[in-house]
Amino acid sequence: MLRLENLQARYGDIQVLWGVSLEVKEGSVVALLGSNGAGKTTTLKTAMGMMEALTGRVIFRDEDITRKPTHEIVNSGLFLVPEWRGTFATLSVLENLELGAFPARARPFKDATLQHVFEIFPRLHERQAQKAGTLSGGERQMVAIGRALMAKPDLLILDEPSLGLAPLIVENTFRLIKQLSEEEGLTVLVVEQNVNLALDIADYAYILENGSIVGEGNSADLLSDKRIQEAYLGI
Amino acid sequence: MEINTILQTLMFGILIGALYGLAALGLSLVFGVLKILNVAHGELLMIGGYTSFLAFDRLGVDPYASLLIVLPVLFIIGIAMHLGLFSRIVRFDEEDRIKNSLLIGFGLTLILQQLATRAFTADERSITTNYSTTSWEFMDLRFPLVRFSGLFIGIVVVIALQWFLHKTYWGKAIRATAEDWRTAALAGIDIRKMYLFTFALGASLAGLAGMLVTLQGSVSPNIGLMWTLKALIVVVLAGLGNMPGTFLAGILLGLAESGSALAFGGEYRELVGIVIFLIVLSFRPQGLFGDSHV
Amino acid sequence: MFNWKNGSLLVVLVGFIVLPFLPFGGKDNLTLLISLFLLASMASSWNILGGYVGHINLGHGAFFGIGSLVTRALWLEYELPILIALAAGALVAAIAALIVGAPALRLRGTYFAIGTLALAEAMRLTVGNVLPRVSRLPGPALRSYDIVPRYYLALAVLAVIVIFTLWLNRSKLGLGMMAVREDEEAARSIGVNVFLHSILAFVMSAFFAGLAGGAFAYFHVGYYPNYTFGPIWTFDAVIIAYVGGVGTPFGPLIGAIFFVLVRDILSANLVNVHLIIFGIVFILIVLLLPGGFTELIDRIRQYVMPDTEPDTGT
Repeated sequence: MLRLENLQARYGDIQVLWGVSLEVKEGSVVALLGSNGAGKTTTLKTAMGMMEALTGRVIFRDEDITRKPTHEIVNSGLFLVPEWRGTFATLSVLENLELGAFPARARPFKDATLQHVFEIFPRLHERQAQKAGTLSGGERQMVAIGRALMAKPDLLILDEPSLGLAPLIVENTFRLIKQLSEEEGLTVLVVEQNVNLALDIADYAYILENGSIVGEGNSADLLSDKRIQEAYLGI
Repeated sequence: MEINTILQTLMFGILIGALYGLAALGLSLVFGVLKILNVAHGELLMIGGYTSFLAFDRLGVDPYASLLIVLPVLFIIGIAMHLGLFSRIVRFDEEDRIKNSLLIGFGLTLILQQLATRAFTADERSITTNYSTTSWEFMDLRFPLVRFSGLFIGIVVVIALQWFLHKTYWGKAIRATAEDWRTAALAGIDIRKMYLFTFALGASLAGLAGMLVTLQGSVSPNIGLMWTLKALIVVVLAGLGNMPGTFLAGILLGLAESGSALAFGGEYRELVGIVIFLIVLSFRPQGLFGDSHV
Repeated sequence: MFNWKNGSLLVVLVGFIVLPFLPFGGKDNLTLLISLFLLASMASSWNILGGYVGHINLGHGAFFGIGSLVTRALWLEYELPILIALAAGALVAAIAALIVGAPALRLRGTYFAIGTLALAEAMRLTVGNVLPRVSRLPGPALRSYDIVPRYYLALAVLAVIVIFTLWLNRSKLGLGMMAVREDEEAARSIGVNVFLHSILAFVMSAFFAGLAGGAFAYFHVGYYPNYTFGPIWTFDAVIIAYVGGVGTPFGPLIGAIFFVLVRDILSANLVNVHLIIFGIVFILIVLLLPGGFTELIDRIRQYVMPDTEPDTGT
């Protein structure tokens, strides 16, 4: 469904991505692994049109979206939950969720999707009138994911969903992702530093180091790969 | 001093303050959403004033009715201004954005002022209708109709803005953009459209204030800077992100000026605003009513 | 290019010095040049804080006003020699900057700009209120009025500022200032005392503006006291600095020359059209050519003589 072909990108004069290629097949959960500074977030930003790609292409559903503006990309069914979660602190939980359905493709289903989100996250239903800025980290994560669901994406990208959250919440989040993928057929790309968690739910994974893909494979194979074990699992 | 004089002066302060508040609404909106400071805002107000003057002078249109002309005209001018100039700087990050917007606004002020002088000469123009001097008398106080309309219109506009920003999708999208444009883009909101609309709206609001200024007083090519400064003072006083607060801050400014005129005499009324401004800037930069993420 | 450039500068300077003795060194031309020198001085002095450190000061005119106020008072009322009055005026302006700068520089970019704008306006109003609206034309000073010393004084002020800026351009202090302009955080992290550099730049720019103000007082003599506090002095300075090339030693000078040329060519036919043209040029430069004419000259030079080092100091 999503294909990144040879993406190169720069921050000012510093090149960060040196030809990143990866593919996310429909219905699967793919993980993009790598340590801090490997270029994971940059890859996502480039895919979503928030950064300009020097060369390379981003293909979504056979359409070249490399030069499209971000909001149009979102409108075609790709949705990124950024690592900063991006909840609007001055808006209420309800308004945050409603805004999730801003893209035209999602708007007709707003009410139905809202019900669904409240079913998944009953806590949000309780706190719907509260300003998002007053929520706890875990609750904000819920709003972020809830808002993503409101947009009815075909492919959901999550940037470091485990960052800064309590282990229990992280566990729940990953369980939810797995659930969404299995029950609703949502295609997911997860960027994570926590290799264990990611490989747990992913079908396929890529390893990014210093702006290039240095390895890829089925989760099962990767988990048993000696190099991965040493480098990332601390075994 | 007679109690009547005091009340009359304070009331006048509220009424002129309503104008200050109206003038500031557009500036606050643009600053809050686009994060740029359009120092040519006062010039937009002046254009609005001249437009309503022309409508009245050449076409005999009543100033309030002329709003039907002024608002769209200023909206279009706002679109042109944004597309032509300010849209090119919104892709910079915040610091550069503001710096460049200041400079561009500067240049615009110069150009617009001179254009107005050539078109209308430096004379003051005002709109005098048959109700310009009407006022109600109540308990020995005079309530000038035209000035009260300013307060009334101001309240209506604030209510309308609040409804728009909090109850409509477009308005919520604008608030989201103001808070965090990156996330707003990720939510599928077309930032460029939001910016364009907000800027044009700000221009219209300035034009509205301009009409009232011309009706209640006069318009001339160099009133722009003074009104920009007043609007700035109100925006800083109120803080960002709060339309009713901004309007209220305008009224407070007007009251403060009148109060100081009563206490220290008229020559220092302009100074009061600036002094308050500097105090707020030094000790509470987020303003009296604003969110503290300034 | 260094010697070439310095050589030609010297020639120009000498030219200016001997001008009054030449046939076309008449009163009109000298007046024009004085106006040029003063504008260039204002732009150059603004450039120190605005161009090198990057803080936009929209109240620069206030220092011009202070300088002119103090100088005129000391020279006319107390009959001190003009040079002493001049120095005193500049000093008072510098002290004012020191007092105002300490709190003002704590403000971030925009707020600093509008804060200084407001302060300058406050000064203008206060001066206008406190001092009588009379522009005194003292008899004795007028009777012996000779344009030539005014010319040399204005030229000297400009020369001092330009020489200082040239020095600043290559000095450690100037380098520190430019570091602050490029990235405050980074500058801090390499040990640059941001506040110190900022306040020094502020005080120096005020000092020079004060000098220019004093030279203006000596030149114009008769004007309303709050005229020199008007926003136009700041506006002209900022626009000239940008058009010519902000952050460079000669940019403001180039800008001033352009400004005066445009003004004079156009004022014959159409009143104040030059301001519109200037406004447009200014906006175009901000949007398209932030380095101003200096950048333009550099680019042309690079195109014509590809391996030349641009030594304009950005």
